[in-house]
Amino acid sequence: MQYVTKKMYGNSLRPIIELDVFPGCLAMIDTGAEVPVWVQKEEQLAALESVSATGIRSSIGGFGGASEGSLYRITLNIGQLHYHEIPIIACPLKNTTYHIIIPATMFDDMKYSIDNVRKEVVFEVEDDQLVGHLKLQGKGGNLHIFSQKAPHKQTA
Amino acid sequence: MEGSDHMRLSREEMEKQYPNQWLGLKDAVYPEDDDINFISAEIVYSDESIDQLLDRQLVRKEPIFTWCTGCDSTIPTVFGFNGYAICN
Repeated sequence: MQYVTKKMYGNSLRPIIELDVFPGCLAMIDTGAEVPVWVQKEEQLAALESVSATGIRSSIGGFGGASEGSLYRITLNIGQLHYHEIPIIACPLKNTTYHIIIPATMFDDMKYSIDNVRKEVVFEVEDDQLVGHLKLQGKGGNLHIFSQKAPHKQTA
Repeated sequence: MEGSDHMRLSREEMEKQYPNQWLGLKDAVYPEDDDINFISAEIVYSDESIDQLLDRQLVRKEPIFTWCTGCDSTIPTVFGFNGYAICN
């Protein structure tokens, strides 16, 4: 069994953690979300080395209503959890103090807990655990994003 | 606005001297068990928006990171994205 522990950001009441995408990259874990979303300017996402554009426009829905954004792929690590070229939609939101929304679908088949006392998020994985990997697949002319099993990869 | 000298301040000092604003920082010092909540850092830019600072960091590749003093607990945001992609 392995535990990946990420400190939460400041005194936030929300589970905001740091990712390795760039220094100071903050991501909010949203258990109601299905796809990763970049909430700052799209040009800034496109400038990242770990990101590639797909040329696909995507519809996105949420509590604030429907919107649209460009679909990219991003490679990132959450501690030892490795996500290779997963989809991410650029959909800028005003007044956010983080850069990325990461969805519950990234932690499919995994136990995770938000410790608001110690201000930590803990991911529990078996040594040979398969972790969620978001995939695009065409269906009747549309592309759908869903979870796909992928090998858990440890990084140095 | 770039500071004339890159003054090193603690988080608490930043919150007092630059309340509720974004800062461009560098050379942060972190606690041993925490890679996100720095103890102190040098202030490179103040009085700039998050857009301006992220352009500096991500587009112009300036070696800074951004931090907002006391913003997070007060700003409402939208939760619960789900989505699907449509080919053009």
